[in-house]
Amino acid sequence: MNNTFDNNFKKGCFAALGIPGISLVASFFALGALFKNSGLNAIQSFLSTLIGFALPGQVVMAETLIVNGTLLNILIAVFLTNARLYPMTVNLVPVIRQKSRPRWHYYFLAHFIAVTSWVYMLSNYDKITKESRFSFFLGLGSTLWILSTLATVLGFYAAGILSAKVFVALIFLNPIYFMCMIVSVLNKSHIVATVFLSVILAPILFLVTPDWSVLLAGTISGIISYFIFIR
Amino acid sequence: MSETYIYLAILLTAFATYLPRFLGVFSSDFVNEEGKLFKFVSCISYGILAALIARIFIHPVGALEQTSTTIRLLAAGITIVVLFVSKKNVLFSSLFGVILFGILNLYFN
Repeated sequence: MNNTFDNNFKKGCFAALGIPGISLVASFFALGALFKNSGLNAIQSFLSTLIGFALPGQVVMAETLIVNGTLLNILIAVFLTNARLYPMTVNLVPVIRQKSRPRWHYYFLAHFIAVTSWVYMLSNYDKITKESRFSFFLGLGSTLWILSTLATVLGFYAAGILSAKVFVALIFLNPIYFMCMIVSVLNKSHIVATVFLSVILAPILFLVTPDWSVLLAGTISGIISYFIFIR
Repeated sequence: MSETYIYLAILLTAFATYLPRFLGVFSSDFVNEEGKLFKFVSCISYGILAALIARIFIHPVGALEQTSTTIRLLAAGITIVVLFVSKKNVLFSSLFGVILFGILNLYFN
């Protein structure tokens, strides 16, 4: 590793220690408590975030376990919940791509692509030089991953110590943070239109098809905005 | 529920989570940062994210389900106002939003 890589990696780590990290720690802390109430032990909670780092999918897994869902139920429900990671990854990789890097670096880095790291990178990449983005994202994503894994275990052991109202407030930090990040970067007409349309469509589609409402609302809104503003 | 069953559930969850990421890296070969396809994928990604946030506020699952929709939406609405008043200070606005939600939820839920 050269000095430039080290510096950019460190900058990514420090960026993660701000509000992105605080927001994720709060959410994974609450997830740890949910895991305890779902019948998982501390090692299983730790392992879940370590290898399956994406909060909504982990929540779905825990809730499916609570209602004694089958493994096939879990596989399908988690895949549907996390399918959003596909367009997000397709969107992020060209931003951080360096021609000199072997492909496996990106497959490794993909484990750190989640909403928090994605929103932060897509909101700030134009302030980072193209050659620095990969190492910056690696620092950002890996730090968020480590913090989240630790917070899951802490949350597991803290379950029952904090009141339910405090836990709920902690859970609320993550969506509030996502909302603030997205609203703060709404400066392109096609993105503004997509977000508005999607926010209107999602609750309506939920009444028709709860499982598919997020994917459908986002895809329909994105296609409509693209054809109106870009094509 | 056996220990093995939970470990299998965790492994399957990890697989179902990594698969879209893997396919995303694979497909990204056809996308460049300046092209129209990049903008198309941006639209879809932001759309799905906005839908996810809307769903969490309006039809949440888990612990947030026990809280009032009015309180969640009120806290979110006031937070957006604060975000603009604070010149898009995300840290301040997020913390404000969560404290406001906590207080409203404590006294009015």
